Amino acid sequence: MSTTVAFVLLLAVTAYAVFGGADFGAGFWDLTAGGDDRGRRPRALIERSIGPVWEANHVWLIFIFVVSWTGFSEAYASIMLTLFVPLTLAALGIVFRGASFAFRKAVDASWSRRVFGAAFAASSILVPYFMGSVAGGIASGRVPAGGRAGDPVDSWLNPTSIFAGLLAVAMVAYVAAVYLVWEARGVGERDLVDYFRRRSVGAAVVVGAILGGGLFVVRADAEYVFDGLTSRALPIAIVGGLCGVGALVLLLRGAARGARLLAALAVAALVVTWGFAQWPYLLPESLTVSAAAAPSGTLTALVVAVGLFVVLVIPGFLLLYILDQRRLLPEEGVDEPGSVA
Amino acid sequence: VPADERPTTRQVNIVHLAWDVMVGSGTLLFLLSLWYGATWLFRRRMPASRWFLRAAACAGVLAVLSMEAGWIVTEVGRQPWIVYNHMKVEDGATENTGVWISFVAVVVIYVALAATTILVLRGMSRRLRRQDGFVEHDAPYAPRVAASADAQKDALPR
Repeated sequence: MSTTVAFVLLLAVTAYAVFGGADFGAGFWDLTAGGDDRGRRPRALIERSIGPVWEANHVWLIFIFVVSWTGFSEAYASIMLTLFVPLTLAALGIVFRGASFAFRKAVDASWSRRVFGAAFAASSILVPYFMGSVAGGIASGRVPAGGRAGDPVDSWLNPTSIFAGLLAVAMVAYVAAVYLVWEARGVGERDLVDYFRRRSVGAAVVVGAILGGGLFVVRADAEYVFDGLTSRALPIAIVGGLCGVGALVLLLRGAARGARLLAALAVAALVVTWGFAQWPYLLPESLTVSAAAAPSGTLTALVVAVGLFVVLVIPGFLLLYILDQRRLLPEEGVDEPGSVA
Repeated sequence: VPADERPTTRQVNIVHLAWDVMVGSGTLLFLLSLWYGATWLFRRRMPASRWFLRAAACAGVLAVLSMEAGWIVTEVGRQPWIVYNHMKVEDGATENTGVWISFVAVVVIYVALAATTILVLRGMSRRLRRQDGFVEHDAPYAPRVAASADAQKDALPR
């Protein structure tokens, strides 16, 4: 039972990385789009494509929190007590991001659009960085078991965390660029298709370079996970790598739809690889999944709740994504009041 | 109930007052909607009297006040328990230092966001008044006017 719940948790983290990641990555391209004139069209495309679904993806984050505190309370307490600094910064980043994205649409003076745009874009980068550094702190065994606080600084300012943070930023930028190629094609803007294709290829190369360098960091700093990478998790890592290379080939050949699917799979495989690499530990080498699990009654209730989530929430999500893809949703804020979460 | 599991007299008074505020303002809001409903039922229009409009303007503030009072009822009313009969608030609180820093940061940020919201809303209303109407591309959060509703319906399946 605890294995099932751990797997659900891993899937939720994956979904957040793939769907939420694309949102954050779009903020990265917003930041790097250049001055007012040069960046106008890419920014407009970004605004149009993330507008309708931009806050929905945080459902995944809430789901992750609820599953971890219900199913693995002890580990949750340890993680929160140890990593409260990056988690708080990420939470503030999410607030800033949502608020400034909404504000930017509502003001017309160019200086205030610029200020809100910069706040939106900068927080879009900080959030994945801090989320990545949290993952790095967990993977490198810096979160102690027993609901105790670890080192509040070293737990997220360490080689593995910095590597994972940078990887997360590069990864979301990559996914977003691949998605935006598809979006640009959908609205028939040929030059923006090329614009984002160049950037997605560049981001893919950066992700590859960070991964290559990161292996040495992980070998030195997170031995258990490195061992897992070269044994348990190796098949998934290889599949992920193949998807990544395949996406790159399709991008270069201009097949945006297939590239989008393969890029998403590559990112998903990366997250799943991490999960398998540290199996059976939730907090490597101090707390296993089965030891961290809540009593079986709680886990049963949780699995039932997850079943309801799948039945009730997932269809809504699918409908949202499909409507968004077919451009049947109204522009953000015209039809419905903006939700500043 | 043992003495250390009882709320203090002050907590009891706070809950009592908050409860009265919540129920009182909720009742007023209910009466206001009854007023609207009755007028709609008998005259097929919304109440036009000045006092109704004044009350409707106050209703927004009152609704927030009522909601906050409700939170005070639940959160002060639970004292001293965080999980009833299992864990006291003082045992559930974090032992991390620096909680004050997070608290101050959150307060500062939300005050700044509230101020920005007010400034942005005022800017939007100023712009709408100046333009004497609704321009879609310029003010996405502006209220719809009837004339543009059809135009938007046509514009949707882009």
